[in-house]
Amino acid sequence: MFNLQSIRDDFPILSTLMNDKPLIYLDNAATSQKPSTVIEAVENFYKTGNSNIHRGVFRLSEQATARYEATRKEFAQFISAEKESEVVFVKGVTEAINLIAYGFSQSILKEGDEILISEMEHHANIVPWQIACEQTGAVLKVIPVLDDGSLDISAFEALLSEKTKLLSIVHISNALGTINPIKSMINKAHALGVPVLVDGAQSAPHMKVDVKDLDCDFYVFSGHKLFAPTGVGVLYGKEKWLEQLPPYQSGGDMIEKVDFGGTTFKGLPGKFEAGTPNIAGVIGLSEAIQYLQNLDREGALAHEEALLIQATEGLAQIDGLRLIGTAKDKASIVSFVFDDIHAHDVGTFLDAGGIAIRTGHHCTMPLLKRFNVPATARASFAFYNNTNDVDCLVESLKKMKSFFL
Amino acid sequence: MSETNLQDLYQSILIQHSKSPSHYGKFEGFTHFSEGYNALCGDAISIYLSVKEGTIEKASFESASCAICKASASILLEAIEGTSAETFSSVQNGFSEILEGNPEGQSEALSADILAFEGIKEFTSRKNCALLPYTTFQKALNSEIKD
Repeated sequence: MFNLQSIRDDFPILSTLMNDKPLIYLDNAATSQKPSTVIEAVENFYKTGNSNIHRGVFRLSEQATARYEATRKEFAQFISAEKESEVVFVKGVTEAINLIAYGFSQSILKEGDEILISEMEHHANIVPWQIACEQTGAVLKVIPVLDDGSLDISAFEALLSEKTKLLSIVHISNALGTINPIKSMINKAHALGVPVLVDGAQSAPHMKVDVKDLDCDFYVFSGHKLFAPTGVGVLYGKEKWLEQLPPYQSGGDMIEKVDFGGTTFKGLPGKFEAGTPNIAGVIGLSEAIQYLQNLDREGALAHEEALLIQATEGLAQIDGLRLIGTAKDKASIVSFVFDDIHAHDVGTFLDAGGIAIRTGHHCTMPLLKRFNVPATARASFAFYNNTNDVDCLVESLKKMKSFFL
Repeated sequence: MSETNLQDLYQSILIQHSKSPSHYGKFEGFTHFSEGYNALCGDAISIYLSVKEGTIEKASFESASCAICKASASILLEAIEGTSAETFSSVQNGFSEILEGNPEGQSEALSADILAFEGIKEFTSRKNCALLPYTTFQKALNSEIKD
């Protein structure tokens, strides 16, 4: 049962003031707020459980190690991964994609090979591939985006070939809200033997992710968008792929034996986790996924869909406002521009009323260029937002027009 | 930050400049040119100058940018056209002091329009919007003179 008021009570920041007004937080696509259980778990770890992991023979270290490794198992179950060794803890999606791009550039890519991404990718799923291609002579191919913000699927089918060594695609666009048909894209890629990496930064907070059902080869997560602390995330990879990739960083904890004559690395997932990890962050992540598992996720998704409809209809009433991204399948993200008011000015105006939205290029400069806009204003909703938040957004935007024009 | 601060930031003089900027649009025969970008937000500005014997005879800009950036460029070019690189440097220094909330002693050197940017000190993330025309102007001055 989805009880909005009790959910809002779980997130302490939602009852704070911003600029003397109740905070209305509509920048969930940039980072989500954290429930008390997550905040307290991190605090308690530092108060009573702090120790390094995988090293000490003392009880405190053993307990920290057990908690850290238990989270790996919990996360594997959370996404229906077959093995917990397929769950690698990283800083977030950016590091996960860098790890995979580095591995591909070292072990797989050759001159003339192709990497296929789309025009709606976040810079984190563009730049690592540009670098990998520069280093190997591989070629970056880009699936275009249609006017409504959906992918041009026939162009995708034409671009996919035996030369493609990886399809790396965002599940939900952070700038447009478009939900891509990744399951059918994965099927089409696999039919040609092409592995698929899915950027799940925006999808995991909204919907249940089942990597077994999707049959994706990699799926990457950022904890801080998933109600967990910043600086922690997960790279899921099928064992057969993770084994082919070399270590991304090296040093302590990722080795089996170090000798000046040569070093051997740990197996999965340890070979990808060099140095002391974000232990408190992983423990916070454990609480966050527990929170999501206790939540009526279908009810939460239905609530977010209702907010999206309310926002879309409310914004449509405002003269001079144009939505960027009107695909049929959308998550609760609305991106918009005004004819004569710049997104930055929109953001500053709303902030004075306690409303936090994102303005700018959303780290998707090629996508904004495709839509011929320098910046958009973006409101993104989480399950803890309410209809009042949407009303305040729409009413403030109406008032804003008389302020600037 | 409150709605009062918002009025301080968007003083009517700035709104006017942003709605109908002066010195807007590229002109033929410019001798110096530069583009500037704000990596945070994707704003872009181009500045065109015609400099002869140390005098900035003509200056104009084009931008895809917010009201603060556009007003800042409009007001800067109004103040600078017909002066020199040295005048630009002193206006730039005075402007930096205003953004940091130190308007004392600037009122004689700067026009009233430039002083209207005082309200920005409360808006840390918007200072770069106001500064972009200045950094781009400096780059334009340093650019190669075209034949």
